Amino acid sequence: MGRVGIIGVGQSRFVRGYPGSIRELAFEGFKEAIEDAKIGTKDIDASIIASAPEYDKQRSPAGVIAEYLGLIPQPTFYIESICSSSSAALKVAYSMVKAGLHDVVAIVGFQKMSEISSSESQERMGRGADIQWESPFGTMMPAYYAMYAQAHMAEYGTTLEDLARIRVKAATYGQINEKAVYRKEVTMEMFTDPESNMSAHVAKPLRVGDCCANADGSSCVIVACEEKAKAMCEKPVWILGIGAASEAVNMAGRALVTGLSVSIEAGKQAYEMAGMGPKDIDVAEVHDCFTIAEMMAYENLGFAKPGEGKELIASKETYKEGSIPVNIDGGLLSKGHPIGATGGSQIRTIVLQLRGDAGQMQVKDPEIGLIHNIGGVGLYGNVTILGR
Amino acid sequence: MKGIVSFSGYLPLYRIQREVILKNMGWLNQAAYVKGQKCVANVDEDSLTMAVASSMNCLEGHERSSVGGLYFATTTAPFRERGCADIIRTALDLESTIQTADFSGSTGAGTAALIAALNGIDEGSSELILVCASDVRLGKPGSSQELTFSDGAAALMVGSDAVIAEYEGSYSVSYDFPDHWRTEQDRTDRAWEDRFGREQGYRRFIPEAITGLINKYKVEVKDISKVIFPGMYPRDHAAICKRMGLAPSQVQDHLMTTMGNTGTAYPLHLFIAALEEANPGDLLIVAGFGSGSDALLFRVTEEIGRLRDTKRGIKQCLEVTRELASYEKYLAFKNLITPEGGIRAEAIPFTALSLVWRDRREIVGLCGSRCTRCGTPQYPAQRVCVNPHCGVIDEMEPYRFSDRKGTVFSFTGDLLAFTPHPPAIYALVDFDGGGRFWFDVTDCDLETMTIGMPVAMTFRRRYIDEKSGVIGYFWKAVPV
Repeated sequence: MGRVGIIGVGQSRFVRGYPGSIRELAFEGFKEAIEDAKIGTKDIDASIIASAPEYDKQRSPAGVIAEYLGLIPQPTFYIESICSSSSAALKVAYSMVKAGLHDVVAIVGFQKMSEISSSESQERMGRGADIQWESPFGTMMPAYYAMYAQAHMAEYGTTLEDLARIRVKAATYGQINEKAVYRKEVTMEMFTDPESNMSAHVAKPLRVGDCCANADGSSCVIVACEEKAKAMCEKPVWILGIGAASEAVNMAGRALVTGLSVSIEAGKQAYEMAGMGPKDIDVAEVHDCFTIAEMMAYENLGFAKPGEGKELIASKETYKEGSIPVNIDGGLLSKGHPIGATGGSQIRTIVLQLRGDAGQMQVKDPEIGLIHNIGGVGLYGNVTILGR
Repeated sequence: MKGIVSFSGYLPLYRIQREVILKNMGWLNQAAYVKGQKCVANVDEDSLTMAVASSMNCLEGHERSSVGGLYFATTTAPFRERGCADIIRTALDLESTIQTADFSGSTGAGTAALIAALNGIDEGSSELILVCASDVRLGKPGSSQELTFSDGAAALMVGSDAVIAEYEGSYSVSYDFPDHWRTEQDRTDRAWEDRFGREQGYRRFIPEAITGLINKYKVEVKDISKVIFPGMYPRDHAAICKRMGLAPSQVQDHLMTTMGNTGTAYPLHLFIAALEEANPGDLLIVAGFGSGSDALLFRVTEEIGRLRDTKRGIKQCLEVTRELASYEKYLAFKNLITPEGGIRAEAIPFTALSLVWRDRREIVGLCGSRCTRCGTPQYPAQRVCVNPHCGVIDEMEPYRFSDRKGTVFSFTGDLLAFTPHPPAIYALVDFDGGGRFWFDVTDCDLETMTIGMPVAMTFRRRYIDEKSGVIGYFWKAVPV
């Protein structure tokens, strides 16, 4: 059984309010990917549509999107694991290709966050939690990660400054990523300036600057079996390791709250499958929906020891020139976080990096890249390792 | 011998100085002046939740299974129809086969429930009956009721074993006295002239009941240790005592200055305050007021010393307070003004009453499960043991968390989520003895929260679904 390669990637610009429907939004990422792969719609044997459900009114979006993308009569599937939907879809696509069911599969992730009011979206996010034992608290996403931040600070002495540094780095690269939703600079001073929006508290200890930018967007990743990948693509990028894990829905049921156990578990699986360790990773995309999430990812993926993530960012080792560049596209914090599209966008970034196509964001000659994508508050974890 | 076996007072944390009310509303009714402060229920409290709070402390040290009855007295039940005593019973995790009743109608319901409970105890039986009285009465802004009406609850356990105050008997007078009332539509009290209430009612019924009791049980006034009755009209309170020939030492302080008129709970609060100071052999007379008056005669026993340090009396409640400095905040707490809640407040809470019914012991009673194999407590109840080293299936026993203390494992203050009293503070609570769950934190400032902080559980309103008239009750964490 041969390898599975990525032959094309694409993403829409991530924007605040996309002026179109979900199918039009999905088309933007898809079009870039088929152009990147230099293939037509008939070359694709199956599609997997990925999003967090119910942010738009469409039930079963796979059908309407596959039709609009010209992917009928091929089979289409819908996969969701909230914020990691498109990473979960990659795993399913990989399995399909490996099983010999389909040779070329397109994964289309999308999310239109701006279709509903914030009270409606609160209600939907709430229902992503346990509707009986958790949603009734009405807790907003930042508050969950704030609990992790509070615990991390108490355990390891992590400070608000350490967290702010992560946002400053994200903004550094958001400014040079023309697809990012937030393209402005963020400075350390903004976090202590009461006049700056960045310093406003959202959920103690997290401030506006610690939270990612909501966005509408789409992404697309096209995978193929080894034979076709080699035939169709000059520079295929290979899937070397792929791990996934789940955790107790309610934080109260978790042993670890200074990190995400799903990151550790999915990372372990991916490293084992790839026959590699953290030291082998040349460039990474981690799920930085909040600054604390990136800090924990450093530690859970083995880039730093538990509690030492702060030294990694303080010494700028996760900057483009550092020993382990992380989120050199602005991350969720600045590039934006259109839930269902996020994983595909992260994969795209790493594929571009490994092919040497990342332009201004290009890290020096990386061979191995890692993608870390989380669904819910550490509920689902996906880690993917790619190599050229 | 039958009588009082246990007691507990509960006053909400907040106090508003009457001066603050007068500063804002004194222009309207310049004759109204009452000094001191009154207690204000938090925005997530009502008569029912406060009754649970007093009852929890009162129950401490008693087997739940020995309680055979629960009587709840209030004039401010959150439901016109739906048994409040039954909600309280479920919250307290008392057995479903006990006798329950709601007493209402007038502020005399507190003493009426107590007499009914005492009469319901069979001499020599080991059965206990829990009486709780609670009120959150509301006066219109600018009214004298607004100044005097106070929020609070009291619980008394009656039985015939280890009695601290023996019940000797009672004497009641009943009158349809229209000094104040509320119709079906009224949230706030309506009152006839103040003078009418004082002169025709208060100054007559209380002496009539107490004198009747004294005559009935042939008590000499000089032998009475304390006469205990509400003091909503302090000057008349003093006049009554003087006319009865009571020395100042024979009169229980009416607590109008420090506590206020707590309605049905008021005479019970004063009774508890007297019990805190009482000595064996003391003769106590407790009288209530409301559509007449009930007077009850008690003799304190040697057992009194047993409860001194274990129960929360009134003294402790009066010591632990937080100032409500803003009159507007008071109005918002009382739902007399409707502040903007933001668009998130419009999200309709998820109310499935069938679910609340099905899982009543878990939600209202805060009972989870404990693995009989490895002993791990878990909430909500599980079928597969959550202990990663155990994992056995269906080997669980019920396990109550509501009376356990715990510590804060992590916390945050959420400024996005809707709450009538922002920020919404949540904590992961590690229970002493094991088990961890997620709770709202109430009666607490975010600034004072720390990891490792000790907390206890308190029964509160979690949300109100105004569209369906549903109040969602659940337990919250409160700093110890």
